[in-house]
Amino acid sequence: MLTIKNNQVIDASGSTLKTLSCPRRISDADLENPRHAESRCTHCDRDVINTDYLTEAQIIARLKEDPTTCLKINRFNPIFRVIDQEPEHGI
Amino acid sequence: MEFNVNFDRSYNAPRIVKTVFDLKEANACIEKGHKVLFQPVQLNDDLYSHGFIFKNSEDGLCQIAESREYFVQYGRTIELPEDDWEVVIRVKHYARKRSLNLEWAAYVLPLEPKEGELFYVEDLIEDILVSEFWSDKIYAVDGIATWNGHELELRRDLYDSGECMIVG
Repeated sequence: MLTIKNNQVIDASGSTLKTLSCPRRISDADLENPRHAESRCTHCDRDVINTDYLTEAQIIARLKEDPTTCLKINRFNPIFRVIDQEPEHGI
Repeated sequence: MEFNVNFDRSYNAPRIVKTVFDLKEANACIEKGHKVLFQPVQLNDDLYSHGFIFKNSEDGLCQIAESREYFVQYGRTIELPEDDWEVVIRVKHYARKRSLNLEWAAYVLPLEPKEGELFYVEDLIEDILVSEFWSDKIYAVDGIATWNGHELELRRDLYDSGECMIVG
């Protein structure tokens, strides 16, 4: 299982694989083909990898090859454990 | 799969709107002076998953699938060719089972609600699709709402599919 904490993707051994650093709040509407395995982001023209299609090992391999790879992560994907940061105030 | 609204209740904690499903319980709340808002429970077509039962021509065993060709998580496409798999019947599945057994429910507001007051709705009556994960429908189970003096206005922006995904 991969953990996401403080915007970092961390593997089972505790190593940080990637920092999630997108400055925008991207939704499906911002991706050209949101249901595909790869989709171009209409804001920055980079490919975004849809992790729904990948195994944990494939995600790790991809991030080790290029930690700047952009990922789309579904919070309900059992591969990931998302530890939320508390919102500062209210919503 | 259940979606809980992303809202920090530790700061200016909103009062809680309860949901009741029993008329005696609703009347008891009315007697105590609470506003009780009855609502019909309406099924949402978006929460249905559709598919078929397919029967294998060799061993006669059956399986449910959304179509003759479908993708399963982790990169595998399954095919059920017509020569080997016969359609037995169409089937559908409703994600929020609770709603199938209810005709109505009611929100019970805390005493003396103020116009414009924000509330936490702990058990949403309405069936709202938030997102999907493969064939699983992700539906809202709670919410944030404002009392406008007549009804509760839900913060529907909190059910955006972007709430279920992280991109970066």
